[in-house]
Amino acid sequence: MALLQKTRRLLEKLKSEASKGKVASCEETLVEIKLHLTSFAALPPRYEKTPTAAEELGLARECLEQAVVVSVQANDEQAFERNYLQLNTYYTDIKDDFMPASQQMLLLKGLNLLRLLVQNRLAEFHTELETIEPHVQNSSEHIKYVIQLEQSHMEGAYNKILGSSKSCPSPLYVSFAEKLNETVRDEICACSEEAYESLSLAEARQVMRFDTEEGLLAYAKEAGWVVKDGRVFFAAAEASTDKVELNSMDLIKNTLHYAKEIERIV
Amino acid sequence: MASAAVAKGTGMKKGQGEAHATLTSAQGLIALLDEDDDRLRAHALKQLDRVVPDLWFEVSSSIATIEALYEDESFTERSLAALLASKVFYHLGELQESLTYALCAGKLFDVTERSDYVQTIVGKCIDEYVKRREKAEVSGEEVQIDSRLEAIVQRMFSRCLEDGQLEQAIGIALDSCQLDLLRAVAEHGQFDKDLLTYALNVCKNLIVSRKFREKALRLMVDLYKQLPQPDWVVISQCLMFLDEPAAVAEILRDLLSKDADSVLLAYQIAFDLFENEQPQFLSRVSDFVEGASKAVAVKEEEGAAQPMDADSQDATPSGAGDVKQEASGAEDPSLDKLQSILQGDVPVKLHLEFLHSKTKTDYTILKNLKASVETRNSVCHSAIIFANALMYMGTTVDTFLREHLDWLARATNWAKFSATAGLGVIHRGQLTQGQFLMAPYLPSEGSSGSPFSEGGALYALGLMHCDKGKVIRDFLLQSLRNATSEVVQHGACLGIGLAALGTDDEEVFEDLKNALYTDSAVAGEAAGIAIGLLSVGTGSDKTEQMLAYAHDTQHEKITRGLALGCALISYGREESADALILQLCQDQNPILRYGGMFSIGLAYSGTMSNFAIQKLLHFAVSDVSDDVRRAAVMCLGFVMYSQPDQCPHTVALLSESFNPHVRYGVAMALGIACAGTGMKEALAILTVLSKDAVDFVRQGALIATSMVLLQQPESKVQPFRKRLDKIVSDKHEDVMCKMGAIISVGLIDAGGRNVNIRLRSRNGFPRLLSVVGLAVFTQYWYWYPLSYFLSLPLSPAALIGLNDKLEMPKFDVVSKCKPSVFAYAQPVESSGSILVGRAPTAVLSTTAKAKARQAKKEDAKKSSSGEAEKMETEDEEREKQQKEEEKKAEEEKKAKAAADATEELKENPTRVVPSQERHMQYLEGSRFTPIAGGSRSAGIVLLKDNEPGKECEIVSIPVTTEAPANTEPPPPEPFEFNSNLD
Repeated sequence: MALLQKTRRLLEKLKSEASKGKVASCEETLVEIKLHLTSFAALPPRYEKTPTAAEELGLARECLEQAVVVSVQANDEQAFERNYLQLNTYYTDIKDDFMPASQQMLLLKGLNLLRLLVQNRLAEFHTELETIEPHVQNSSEHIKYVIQLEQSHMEGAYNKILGSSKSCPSPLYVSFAEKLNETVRDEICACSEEAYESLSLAEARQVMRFDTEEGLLAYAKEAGWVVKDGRVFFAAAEASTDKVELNSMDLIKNTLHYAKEIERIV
Repeated sequence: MASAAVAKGTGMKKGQGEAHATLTSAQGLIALLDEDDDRLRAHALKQLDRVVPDLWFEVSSSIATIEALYEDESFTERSLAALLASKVFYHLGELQESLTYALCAGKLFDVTERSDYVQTIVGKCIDEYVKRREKAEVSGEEVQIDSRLEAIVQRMFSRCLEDGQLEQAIGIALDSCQLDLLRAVAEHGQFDKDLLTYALNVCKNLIVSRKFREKALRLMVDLYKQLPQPDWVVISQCLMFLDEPAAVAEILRDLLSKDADSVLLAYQIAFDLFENEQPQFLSRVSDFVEGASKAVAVKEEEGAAQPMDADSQDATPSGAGDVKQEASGAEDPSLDKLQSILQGDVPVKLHLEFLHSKTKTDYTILKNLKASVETRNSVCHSAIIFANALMYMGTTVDTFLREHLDWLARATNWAKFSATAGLGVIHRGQLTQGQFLMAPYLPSEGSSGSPFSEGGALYALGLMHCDKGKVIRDFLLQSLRNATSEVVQHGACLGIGLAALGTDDEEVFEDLKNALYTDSAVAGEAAGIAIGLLSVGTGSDKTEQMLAYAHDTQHEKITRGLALGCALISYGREESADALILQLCQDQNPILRYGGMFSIGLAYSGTMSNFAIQKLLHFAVSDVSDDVRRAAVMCLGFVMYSQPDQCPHTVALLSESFNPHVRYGVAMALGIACAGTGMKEALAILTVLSKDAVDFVRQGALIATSMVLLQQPESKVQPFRKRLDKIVSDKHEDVMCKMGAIISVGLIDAGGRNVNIRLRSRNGFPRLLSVVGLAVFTQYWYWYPLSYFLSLPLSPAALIGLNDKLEMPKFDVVSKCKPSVFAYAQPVESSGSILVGRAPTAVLSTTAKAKARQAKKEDAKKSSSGEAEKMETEDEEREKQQKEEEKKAEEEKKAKAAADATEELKENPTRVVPSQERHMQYLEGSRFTPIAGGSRSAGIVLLKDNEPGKECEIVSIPVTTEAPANTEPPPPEPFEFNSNLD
């Protein structure tokens, strides 16, 4: 019991620290909380039926939810993933009639989906989406928002995505939504590489939606593009000639092989 | 709200015991592994370890993280990470990795846990350990073995001991080549007889390395000796395998000096040793027994030391025995008896008496054979002579030959050689009379007979005295030296090879070498084989000279003889023959590779060695020469005869080969491995092969079938007999196949229907003579006279009971089975069907008239001489008829009674076929009981007389060897060979 109360106090501390934005001390408190959690028997994977099982589970879930929120505030994707995975067990394993679903569940699930979208892990995105029932998908504004973004992403309606960070359903979404802009830019750049041999700096800045030319130049350097005479040259052309040559060799080889095979059969 | 939920939860617990939550994913725990805090990671590992059997597939994707945790030296729970990794790898099926990590887990890996995981890994662990130990044992080098591995095996071993699973403990000890462990089992106590027997069987059958097997057997001997009542029979068998004649001799001497029962036991041991057919070992044992007795004698009467010394240098025991008896009149009679057993005189005599008295050969069968085969065909003709020799093997009955001298005379040249050799088979075991019997054919000074019969006679002497040829050695050697014709040389070489089998006699070797270097194809081939026989199983370095000459000579026959000789020399040498095997198998000459196949077969005979089987199978499918392939398949039979049930499915696929030589090899392999077992699987394959399209495959299948069916219940054999009959009488059948059928007819009734082929003694050791005999027999493919070697593996299937005087007392045993099951085959009725085949002689009209006239005259005479005579004959006939009817009725009654009986009394000595052995029982409360336990129900059994004072009736068999001059039927007249007859 004492342990429960102690943990609860720590959680309060964490919440207050989080609201003050003290990221470093948050992390310390979080580790302490998790260590406390390890000694609860009712938590996964043991799920023992202690008299305080529901209370323990509820507290643990709340702690982890707070941990996820903290990691969003710290803008730490890895920590977010870790914490969310730990939390997700509570969402999936525990039956509803034993303990009511958390109010923050849909908010955090949506956030997780958004993270997957940001990291361009679309397969996992859809796997996760499947675990949410259709009527919930349609009714929850968090989930609806993410689904909308994903659809725009698929359609290539990048404009819509770029504008979406202003219509976030929760302030927690903002940082991820901004990151999504970068993901979208990567997509656009990849398309441009294939589509054009070169672009003028102004055009490139417009197409790739850089606010400043410095931003574009920095990006170009990273991607290995050549900037010359006020134009950006993409390096895609060299690779394509190689490909053609390889293909013809393969083709010849295959044809000869077939010819031989035919003779062999006869 | 929370408390309500709890109440609900507990309610559910009471009601259905359903869980309020089930873990569906290990992702949360895996995510914990990425935390920075070590305590959290340790917690995650602990929890993952619990869920890994269900959720290993999720854990496996982050195996790298777990491995990294183990590698991290600063992490405190490294062993936990190792254990988890091990379990994940186990579930992934990566046992090697799993084992490595399990070892890293140290104490956390709990061998006492009864989970699949632990059992599998422990099994793997022991396997690995055994593999490394074996490698160390074979190569003789120190192999680094992980101490952790050793620790686990040690833990398992002590657990076996604690749980009383001693057989498993023995298994671990022997498998891992650790005799210390075996000793530990023994010290643990309760090492009783059953357990020892188990261990001994493991030693004999499962240990691959010969070197280690010897070590293990040595330990077994020590352990057996520690028993309160040591089983001397088993001990001496082990010592025989270890080749320690001195120790055996000591045991025998020891037993002789004790009470009467021990003396009987000593006799029994001697008989058992004899049964193993290790002639050289026996003669050395007998020398040692002799030597020891002399040493005692010397101490007792020092004055008479002078002649003794001379004796001890003389290695031949027969000579030594004579002198000794003169020197010390008060010699122990039991010692003499023991010697006569060891030297083979008594057992050979007993077998001869048994075969002679119990012969049940059906003469009609032979007559039918003779009638149904075209005599002009020399192949079938000599096959019938061979069949006759087999049927009457060891029975001394040569009636058939004597009654058909004209017919026999058709055998010319080499056929004559074989026919004469057949006499040796018929008179096999007539040790004292041999030379006298063969005298008419033997080469003698002055008269020059046919070289073929002379050579054949020398060969016959060899067959007669096989491996007990001391008496005949000098004569044969002299004949070899005097021989001028290569045919006589051929016979003499084979004869001396057989007579001096395994003696490794230098003088004989020199003479054989001389015969070899004459570079005559016929003599050289025999010399090559003879050298092999002379040094069989010695692994001597003579092979170098032989191989060198085999490369030099132009004659294929000589090369083949030498190659086979090399194979014989490597008999039973296992690993130590590998160098020779390699050399032969890699030779360019297919004939030498052929010899290489036989080297593998004989060197690893009866070992079931995987190495040998693999090698043979490889050659069976890949060599370019048909002969080599045939030999390779055939030799599988030699390697596998210790576990005949393994053979059929090994060769089943080969039996469908496109190559007839391979199919023939399959047939012979089955015949060799499954000889005398009547195994269904083997017969199924052989039945298919005996309908093969190629004649020689059918031939092999028929011969092999008769080998498998030897001494099987008649109900099994009957259909085969009918088939043979059909093949023999079929005019359109191929000659090769007919020959096989005729040989089969002879073989199935061999030795008066009283003999069997046994390649292993009752104690499970290979029988040298039998194996060698079969190996040489298979050479009949190239040289028909060699087929007579088939008589070597044939040994009586008998129960012979002996008392302390080595006489057969009247004594009964019960066969708890319907008498008809194991009865002899019914005699064949000489049906007219075969005789019909003969065309009626044409009768000319003139002769008919003349005959009619003659008949009239005679009639007239008769009528005048008297009617009374006629009346008498009629009366007699009536009486006869009545008597016959009575007899028939009686017989029928008897037959009925026999059919109803469920058991049968058998008089000593009696035939006991292998499948009958388990039905045999000794009568309770009988006067005689077997000395070495009641389970022994065949072979020569020493009986303890429970009423020693009483008069005892002895079964006496009027056998030839006792008073030869009077009872011995005269030898057949020397027949004339008339080449014009053909």
